[in-house]
Amino acid sequence: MAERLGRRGRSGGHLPWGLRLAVAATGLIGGLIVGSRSIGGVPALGPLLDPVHGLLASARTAELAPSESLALPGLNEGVVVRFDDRGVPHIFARRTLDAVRAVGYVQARDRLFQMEMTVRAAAGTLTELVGARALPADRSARRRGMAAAAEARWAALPDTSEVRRLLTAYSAGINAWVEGMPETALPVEYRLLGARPRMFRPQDTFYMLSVMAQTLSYRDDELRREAVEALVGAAATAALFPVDAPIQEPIIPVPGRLTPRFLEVAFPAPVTPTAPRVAAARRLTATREWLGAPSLLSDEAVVGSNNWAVGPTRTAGGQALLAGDPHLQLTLPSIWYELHLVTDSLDVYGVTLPLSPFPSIGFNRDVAWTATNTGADVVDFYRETVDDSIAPTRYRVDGVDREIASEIVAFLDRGGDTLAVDTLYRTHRGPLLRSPMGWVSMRWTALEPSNEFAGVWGALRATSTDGWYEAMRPFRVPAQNFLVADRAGHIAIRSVGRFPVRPGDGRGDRVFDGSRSDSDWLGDVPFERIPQVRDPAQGYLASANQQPLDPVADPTYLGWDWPTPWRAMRINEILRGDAAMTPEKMSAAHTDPRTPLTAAILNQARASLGAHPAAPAAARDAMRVLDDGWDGRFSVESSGAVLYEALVTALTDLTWDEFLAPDDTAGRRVATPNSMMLVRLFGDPTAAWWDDRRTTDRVERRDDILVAALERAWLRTGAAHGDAPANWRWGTVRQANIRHLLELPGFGRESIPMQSGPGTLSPNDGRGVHGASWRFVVELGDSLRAWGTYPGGQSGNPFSSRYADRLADWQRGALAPLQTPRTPEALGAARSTLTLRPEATR
Amino acid sequence: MKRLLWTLLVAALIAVGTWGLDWWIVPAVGALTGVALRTDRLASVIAGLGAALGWGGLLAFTLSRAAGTPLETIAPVLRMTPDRLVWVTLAFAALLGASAAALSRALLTRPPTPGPTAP
Repeated sequence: MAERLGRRGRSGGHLPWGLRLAVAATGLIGGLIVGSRSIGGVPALGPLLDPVHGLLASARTAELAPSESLALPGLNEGVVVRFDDRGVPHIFARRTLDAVRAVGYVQARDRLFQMEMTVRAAAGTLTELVGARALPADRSARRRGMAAAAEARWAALPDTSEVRRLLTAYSAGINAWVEGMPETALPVEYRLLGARPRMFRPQDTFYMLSVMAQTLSYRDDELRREAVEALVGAAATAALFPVDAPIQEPIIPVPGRLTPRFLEVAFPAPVTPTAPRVAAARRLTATREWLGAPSLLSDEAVVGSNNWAVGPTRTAGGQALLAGDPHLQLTLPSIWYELHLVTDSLDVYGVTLPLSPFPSIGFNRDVAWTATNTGADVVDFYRETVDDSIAPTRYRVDGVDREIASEIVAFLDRGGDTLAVDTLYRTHRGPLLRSPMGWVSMRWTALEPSNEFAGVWGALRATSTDGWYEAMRPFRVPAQNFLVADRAGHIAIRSVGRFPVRPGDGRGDRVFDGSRSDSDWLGDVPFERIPQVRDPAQGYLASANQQPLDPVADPTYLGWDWPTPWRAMRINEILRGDAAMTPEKMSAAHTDPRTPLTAAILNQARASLGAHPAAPAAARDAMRVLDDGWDGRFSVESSGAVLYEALVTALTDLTWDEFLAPDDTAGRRVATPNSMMLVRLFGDPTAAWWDDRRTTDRVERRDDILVAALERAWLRTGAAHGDAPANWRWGTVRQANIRHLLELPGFGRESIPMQSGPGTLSPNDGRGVHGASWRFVVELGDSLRAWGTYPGGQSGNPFSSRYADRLADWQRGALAPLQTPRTPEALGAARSTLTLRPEATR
Repeated sequence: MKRLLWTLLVAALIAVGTWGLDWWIVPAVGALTGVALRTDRLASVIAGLGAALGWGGLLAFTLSRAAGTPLETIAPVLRMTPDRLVWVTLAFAALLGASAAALSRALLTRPPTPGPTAP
């Protein structure tokens, strides 16, 4: 038997030797190739599937060890980091420099990949990490000049600057983790990409600031405005995208006025879409990239931050209460990282943006602060006269040619090969861009010198609202409505930041003539004119991105086409109606399911239906369900909300047909006037805007459109969700979709039913990718109490139990108590303790 | 019995080697198996099974040390089900081990080249 086997083995079994060799070689070579090389977007399988060092390796280091002790280079003295049951690090150090070094270390441990993504997003080098798919984003970032601005900010810091020393220590802490982390702790994203983390520099923090400035203050709607004007005319554009909101519920209260002020609004008819006008609009919206880019002119619900504070006279406990609710893009890992720093000179708690050592929003023992975006106009465009429409070298100002600075930049892939090159141009105003309307240069406050961290560093140690604002004077970008409350019971709000002053009428809602030097900015709105108020007589304050000042009180131009006032109106209604506010009521308001917008829409719909005796049955059925079957709440179980949403969508589509982009088969509009304009248009039942141009055989009026919208809403809701209204469920319509930074399936959490709706405190535009990024409430008294949560978790490791552990609370609007121990021992039961010691100590 | 012992030995070598070095240890051990078992026509099967067993053990160990459900987390990223991810992982190891063993064995068992034929 053995002999037979041996003989067979020697002869190689049944297959000819050559064939056996070929099959074996093919299998091995194939295995080695797919094991070691990325093919067709599929990463190399060897390092990926390796059960020890591959993707699953990150699962072994996902949890915090109960106790760790290690040497951290550069520390002067020991630092104790105790992670509480929510994974929040409480960092105890004698010196702040040591504390921020520890912040860098623990943040990198939890969020390294996110930090690198942030820097690269601002620098325009994402392609070097994720490949060619990031090329459009990188081109935009480089053309906007954000990297140069970040480097200039860093270079402008004196060597003796405390901010410089703090950021240097912070980045050293990050690098200590990068250099010393075990291989198993390499974030799984790097493994998937086949990449290694880069080292960090102190100025990377300014890159992060650039990204936030872009998110919160970059706006190029002036460039779209020409397309809108081509379609509907200049007068109509000015009326529908006005400088002053037609419903005034300003951030700075008007003494004695407790209800909104409705401005007189005229609605000039849209111009006839002549062939040249349509051709112009077509040219201006020709590129899909241009039409598809985010714009406030077409995306009302994206912005949705809120904050409110109540003075001691209107709280049950006799202490000031403050609530924060900044809305940003929802991602995993979360945009925020929660921490508590305790040093000899600092005791501050809050949320930081990874790549920042300090809380952007939070509180110390005396003061609490939070922010909403001002949405101010801090970007202007100038149509330049250039010498060459393809590769300009000179531009003309006041009849004199000036040289255009240019630089050729390359976009590299992960292997260092060039994917593309681009030429960046600059005028004295800033980046020179090629837009659908020709060459325009851009001036943006975020690209100019400022020192935000000097302001933040001072504010962290403030002991009063006045001291906080005084410290924040250097803060210029991105301009924010900072709401502050202190332990003495003061509440205040101020739009902190830089607001440019323009020539002429002072407005910035148009593209300027770049050939004239007198188009340039004249300076900044003086500090005294910046919207601000302290301890108003009404006893409470609220902001929700609305126009900060009623133009009657102060006509200073700060921006245009302001977000709708519905959220502000609702918060003020809640605060006005309760003179005994408690933290629990403040918390509940975060997910309040109502909005004043619904009454405005439904009242008009009801009236229009009443004026239409021959209205179709579907319209009447819709109104009946909305009247009898809906309480106006956008709760997850609501069926009426589904129909209401369909009504608003239909009403918007039928009313603003004039803005449909020429030739856009998807039926997208170049711009959409916001719901505030729609509500004001109700007052003009025969306005030309009610006519649907697509129906050439008749001229519609307001009531016709309202009835048609009701009918359409009924039919479409039935088609989409079934004929029985009892089966409709708002939670299936409006959901949060929290995607991973790389949009990797499995690492995100999608289709989360939400109690949110258009015009509520938690708006949702349907995509569900923006939302409440950090909800918190602080009670400032003899004993500090605070509650908070954000959608995600502290860890950036998708395998970690701390990756998305807060989502359930966030979804149902619950806030967790925040712990604020003064000493490590005071924390009690800690999830983990990390002891960091100076390198020489053993 | 001998083959079973060889399979276990290969599995152990691959597990230890992967732990200490990297994934490429799988074809390396596979090739050595082909050399050592060049007289056994099932050498590649032994190497393949050993590789799958070695990686399977490592996979079980990794999963036992991890919190939560790592396979359910990672499988969608690779656009597969957790079960399929396990099978793909084991099959990949088996392919490398078996093909390396078959190749080395084939090279060592080349039949003699026929001499020149007399005219």
